[in-house]
Amino acid sequence: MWKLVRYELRGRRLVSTIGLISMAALTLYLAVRLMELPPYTQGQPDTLVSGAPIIMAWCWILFYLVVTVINIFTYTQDLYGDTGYLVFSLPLTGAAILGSRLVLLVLDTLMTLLGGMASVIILTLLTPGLGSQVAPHVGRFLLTGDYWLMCLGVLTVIVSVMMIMFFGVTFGKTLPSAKKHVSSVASAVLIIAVLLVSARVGIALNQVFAGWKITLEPWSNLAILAGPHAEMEFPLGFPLLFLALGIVSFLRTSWLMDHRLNF
Amino acid sequence: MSELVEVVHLTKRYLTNAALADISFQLPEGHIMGLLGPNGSGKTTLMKILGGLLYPTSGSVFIDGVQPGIQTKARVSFLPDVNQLNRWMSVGEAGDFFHDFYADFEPQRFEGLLKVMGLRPEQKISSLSKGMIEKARLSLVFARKARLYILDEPFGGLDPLARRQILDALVADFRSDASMLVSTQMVGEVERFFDDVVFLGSGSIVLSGDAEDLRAQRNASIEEIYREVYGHVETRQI
Repeated sequence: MWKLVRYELRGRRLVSTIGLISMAALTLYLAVRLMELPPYTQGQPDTLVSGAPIIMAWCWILFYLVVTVINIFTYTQDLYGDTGYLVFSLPLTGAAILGSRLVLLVLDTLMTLLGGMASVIILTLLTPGLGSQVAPHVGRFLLTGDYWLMCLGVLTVIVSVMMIMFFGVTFGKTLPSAKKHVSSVASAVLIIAVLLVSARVGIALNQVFAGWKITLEPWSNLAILAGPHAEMEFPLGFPLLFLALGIVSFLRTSWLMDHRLNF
Repeated sequence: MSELVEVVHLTKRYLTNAALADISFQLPEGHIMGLLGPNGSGKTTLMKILGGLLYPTSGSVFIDGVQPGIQTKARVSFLPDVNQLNRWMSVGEAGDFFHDFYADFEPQRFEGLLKVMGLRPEQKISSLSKGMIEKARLSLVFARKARLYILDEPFGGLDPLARRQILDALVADFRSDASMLVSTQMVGEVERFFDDVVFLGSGSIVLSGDAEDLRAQRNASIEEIYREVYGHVETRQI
């Protein structure tokens, strides 16, 4: 599995390098611009000086979306395209092949999360008038256990949703139809159905366990920035539900790969 | 001589059609078998099943006594009819990939085959012509000391001279403990290597047997027998 991860990383080294250099360049550009601007004051309307860290956060979200699309595209290419002969002819179990995709997803998410955090913190600290206010809180914020648990929860949800997508795409490939479009439609229908049902079940579970208070307070140590949102809670029910769905999707997909794939 | 491949009442059905219908044959160890038939006759489907890439609807397949799966993938060297190599790879990286995953891959043999083919390890797959890619793929497949070689239309991109040279080199070096299943439309050029042939038509075996026996019985070459068997199909297609 790790060898496959190594080859996938090698295949994407150019795209990854370009992506990361672009994000670093954008951070640097915003940082230089910030240093030329007048100091930030509380309640100031949205301008570059007040919004640079937010702009950067959105850029990282966009970056992650592109990375996610590349991941889905690569997987679909392997199942429906010619390179699949290379991957699925290997003497590896479905779990090993899928496991390599899972590792890549986790690596991509961690890279985006850490890169995004670094960019946002750097820009916040460099914002004239804001940096000096925030600086004393950064250390305490980074030690907030709830924040990191929330990150883990978000990672779980993202990876599990991707696993559900992989399951849908693989399921389409196991149908007794030689037509590619039939498989694609079946995959899409299955993915939408699973996600819709998951969302409804998640909401229902949240209501059932409302009294249990399974929530996190990730922003509690960053009151200066979050303001009224400092008390905003992060529900743990969804990550737990998606963790279960992710595990089921992984097991089912690897079984389909081993026993039912119609390449 | 033991049977390396055994196919028993194999059927592969899709929703609306049967790609293979009740196929049975055996491929002995050390033999080269030609799998012949027009487009859509089920050759690729059969090869994919043997390669562990497609699951049969019914019937059974045994390679070295084992049903297709992870175990057989380690012993079968499969050349699909399309370029399976990633475009970002160089020829050498493709060799490293095979070496990492297949225990029977022999790097020295790979280097030797690259020399025969006129390829260099640092050449990028994306920069190679169709014929050169075909040579690289053949080098990768034959650098493995596999038990079974499955080649689906292997010589399509090669010019006639290269085809002849490569075929001679590969077959001269062919081991007696391995077998080969080759599907090709270039029957005339390859038939001299066939020990056995299977003619497929609409998913069923139309004719099969020892190549020499068939030639003697019909007093014709395999290519002529091919024309005889499928002549009406080709005429209808035209």
